[in-house]
Amino acid sequence: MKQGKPILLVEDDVVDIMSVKRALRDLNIQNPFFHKNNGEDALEFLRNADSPRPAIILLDLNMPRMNGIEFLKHIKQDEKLRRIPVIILTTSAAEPEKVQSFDLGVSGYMIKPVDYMDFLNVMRTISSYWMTSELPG
Amino acid sequence: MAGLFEPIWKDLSVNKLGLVIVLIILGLSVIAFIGVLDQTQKTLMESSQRESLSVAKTAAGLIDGDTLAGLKPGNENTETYLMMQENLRQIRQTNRDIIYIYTMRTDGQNIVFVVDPDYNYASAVSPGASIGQPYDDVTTAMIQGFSFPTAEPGFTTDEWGTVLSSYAPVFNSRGLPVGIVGVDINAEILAARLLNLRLQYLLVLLLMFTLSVAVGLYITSIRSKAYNAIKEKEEYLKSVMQSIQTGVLVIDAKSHMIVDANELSLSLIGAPREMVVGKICHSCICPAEIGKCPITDHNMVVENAEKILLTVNGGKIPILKSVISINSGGKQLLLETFIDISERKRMEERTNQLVRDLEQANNELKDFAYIVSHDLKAPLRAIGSLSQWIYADNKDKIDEEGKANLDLLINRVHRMQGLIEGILEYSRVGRIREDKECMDLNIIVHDVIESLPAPANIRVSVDNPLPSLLFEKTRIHQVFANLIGNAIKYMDKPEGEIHIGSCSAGDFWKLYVRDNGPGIEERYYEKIFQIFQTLYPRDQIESTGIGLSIVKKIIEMYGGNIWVESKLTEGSIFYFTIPNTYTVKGKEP
Repeated sequence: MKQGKPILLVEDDVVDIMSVKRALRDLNIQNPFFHKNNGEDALEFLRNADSPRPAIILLDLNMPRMNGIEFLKHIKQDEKLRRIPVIILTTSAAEPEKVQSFDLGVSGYMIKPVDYMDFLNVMRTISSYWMTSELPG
Repeated sequence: MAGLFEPIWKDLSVNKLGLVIVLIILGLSVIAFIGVLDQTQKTLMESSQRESLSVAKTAAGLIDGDTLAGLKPGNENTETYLMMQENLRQIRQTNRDIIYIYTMRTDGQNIVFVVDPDYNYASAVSPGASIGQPYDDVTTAMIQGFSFPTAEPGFTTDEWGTVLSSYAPVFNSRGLPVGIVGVDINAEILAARLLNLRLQYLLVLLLMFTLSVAVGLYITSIRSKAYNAIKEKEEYLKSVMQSIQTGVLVIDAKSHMIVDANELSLSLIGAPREMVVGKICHSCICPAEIGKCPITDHNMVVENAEKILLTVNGGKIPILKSVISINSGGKQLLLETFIDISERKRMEERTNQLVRDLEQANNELKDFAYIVSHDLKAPLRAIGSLSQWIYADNKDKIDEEGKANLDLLINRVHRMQGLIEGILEYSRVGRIREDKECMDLNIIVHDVIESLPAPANIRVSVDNPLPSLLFEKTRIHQVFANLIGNAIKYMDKPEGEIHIGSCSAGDFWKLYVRDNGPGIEERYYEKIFQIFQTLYPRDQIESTGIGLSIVKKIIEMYGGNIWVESKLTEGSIFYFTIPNTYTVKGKEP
């Protein structure tokens, strides 16, 4: 990913967090990595002036307290946060959730594969895409 | 139903009626008899008086007054006397009613006889009187008779008997009255004639009486027959009405008053007849329709309409009602017939409740299948990932057997993943609905063949042009993908043949997918369409056993049918039908 730019993962499942961390390690991605357990914590982190501004957000949909869709609604209304690219990383392949996500301006929608090797491929794709794509400052 | 069939003349019993008729006829007869008899009696008297008077006048005219005046007592054997006797006898013979005829004169003090034809006469009816023999029972009429012809107003009785007398004056040559001629009509003859008349009238009366009795009896018998017939009919109608298992109310269309009610309707209302008959219909039936009766106010027809019957306790009974307007004796009546549908209503309510419960359960089940399978995925993924990491992180510590076990574990994770996806897919059919579009099956089948990587030894071909149907794209794709996919997956011949075709079959399109694969035993024809049912061990051919159950669910959702015909080792044909109401017009093959 863009050199040195932080990545924010919003995810509550411990094994899924481990999967992302492991994939980043296996793919030798060195960017700073931040993790929040739900939408509320993530919003608080993003709105804290001391926090580094992430270059990309990996967002789970099904989370306690504030779920992914609610989180999206908040940041897309926030002038400072709305341009941060968000990629959905979820279990749900349901059409309504996909439609809702894209309506809220997500940059990608990935389904978490059962096989870790497949997951690694998903992460590799995200990484290579964002290595090439230009991002707003 | 006494009210409806009450004959107006019921109080007057049939026998009494006959008697009244007889009495009226008899009474009239007696009055007529008395009237006629009285009149006849009068006429008879008058005619006798007239006759005797005229005989008296005639005789007076014939008698010479001077001669009469000249006869002295003791002259009884004179020629003049005897001739006068003979003349009077002859006059008497002209009328058989006359008993006596005689001449009289005054001698200053008394009225005395002069010529009496019976005096000294051999065949006389009485001894007769001699000249100068005084008459004692003088009447006013007799005295008047010396001046002008006079009749006695009635019968008179003297020593010679009871008679009806008339008198006429006899004048002398100077025109002065010198005596009278008296003519007596025999009262006995008159009485006999009257009696005869009375008897005749009595006979007529008796005849009339008999006739009237006969007529009365005849009328009575006819009426009684008619009455019995009506009564029988009435009984019949009554029993039909009362035992019919339908509530019946008869209502006067004008006043909306209940005129009649049968047993069933009374027992439903729960009140005796007196409390129902005479009431306004809305107090028992259709309470919501006061002033807007569909029949009388809106001129509509009520047939098998659901209405309400009010019971005496304020309860409401749902009824199914029909109303017929009838005309009875110039009165417009509404004949309301109804049945109690409480039980049916209760059943309906129960059925509706069951349907609601079932719908809810079904919805819960649908959601349940979806949520469960969705939530199962996360831990399954964790198991998969963790086992892979264990192997990756401990490659040098895990031996071949351990590796094989971990491989099996990951393989089972994949299988479970497949099952979960299958359930999700299965639950999506019917739950997630797409818009139906015009689907050209030729294109769909072509796309499906393209998307399925068929090995080089398998040839897939379409036998004839396929129809275009209104269908959800995903679903029709699933149908062919599963059927053709299965044919490829299970193909066991070196030269595989898969054929797709269609034909019209009545109201349906019949489509088929035929292969020359291993075939299916007949006992599995049903089983293969059930969810999670597979015919081969999963380690041999990886299958979730969901595909055909999804196909079946889709086809049945569209009102079609699916079945298989097969010959073991030679191949199978999967047939399915789709109602041709889904055919796109103008796009038939």
